[in-house]
Amino acid sequence: MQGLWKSVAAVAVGLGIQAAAATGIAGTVVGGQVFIDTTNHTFSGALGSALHSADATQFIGCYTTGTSVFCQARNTAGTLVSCATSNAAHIEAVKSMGDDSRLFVRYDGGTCTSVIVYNHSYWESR
Amino acid sequence: MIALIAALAAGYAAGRASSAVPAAIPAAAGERETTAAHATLDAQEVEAWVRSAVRAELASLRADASTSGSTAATPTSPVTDSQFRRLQEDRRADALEGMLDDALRRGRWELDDQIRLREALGTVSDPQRETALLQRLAAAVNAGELEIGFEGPMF
Repeated sequence: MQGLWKSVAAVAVGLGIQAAAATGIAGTVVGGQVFIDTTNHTFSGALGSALHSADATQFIGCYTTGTSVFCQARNTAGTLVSCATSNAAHIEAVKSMGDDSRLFVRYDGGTCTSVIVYNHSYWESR
Repeated sequence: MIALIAALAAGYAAGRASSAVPAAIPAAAGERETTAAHATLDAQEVEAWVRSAVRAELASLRADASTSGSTAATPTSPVTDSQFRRLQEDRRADALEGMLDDALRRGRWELDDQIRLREALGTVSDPQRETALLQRLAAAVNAGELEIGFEGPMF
């Protein structure tokens, strides 16, 4: 969990917390560009940020068959990572995703070992 | 009994070969010596006797199998619906795994693969096999073994 918050902090510091006034939207918005760490086998990002990114490369998301979940992300550099899981808690987490969601996934090989969904106004909505 | 049948068959064959009635039916081990009347049996009678003995022996074997609970004597027992569905699902899962193997050999995941996987996933009711397949796919992507040939979800 400590590693997770470090990742969140890194994203926040690296991309900057934007004042809502700058975007014309009330509230605080945190950058949620797709971030892939192939060394520590994690990827994260906000759905809205990936969608509205300047490049046409980024994406992040998960989809579920009901019994399995498949998560995938691609960053600006074109690095593509993915994982799948049948963990019931991960499936429930993915089902809770919405337009404002930010995703954090840890993986080992092709298996998702951690799937965390943030539903918060911090992140840019789709 | 089997030995007797074999002996009878041998005698019958010998008789046929020489186009003559067998001079005598050889005695099988453990059997009582045949009578002189047997020596005068013609080929048709021997054949009928052999058939009768074989039928009796087969009936005995079937009875033994049924009392011992063996299923060997019931090769035509009907497949239940659940067994049939399970077999169908297994074959579908096998086909999906074969599709992934093909993609890995090609080193590419094409739109056709996406469509086939999406359509087939709903038919695989074994969640463990489904997840294992998706994890193989994900691992191949992460290892750079699969180039994605289109823009869009993997399935």
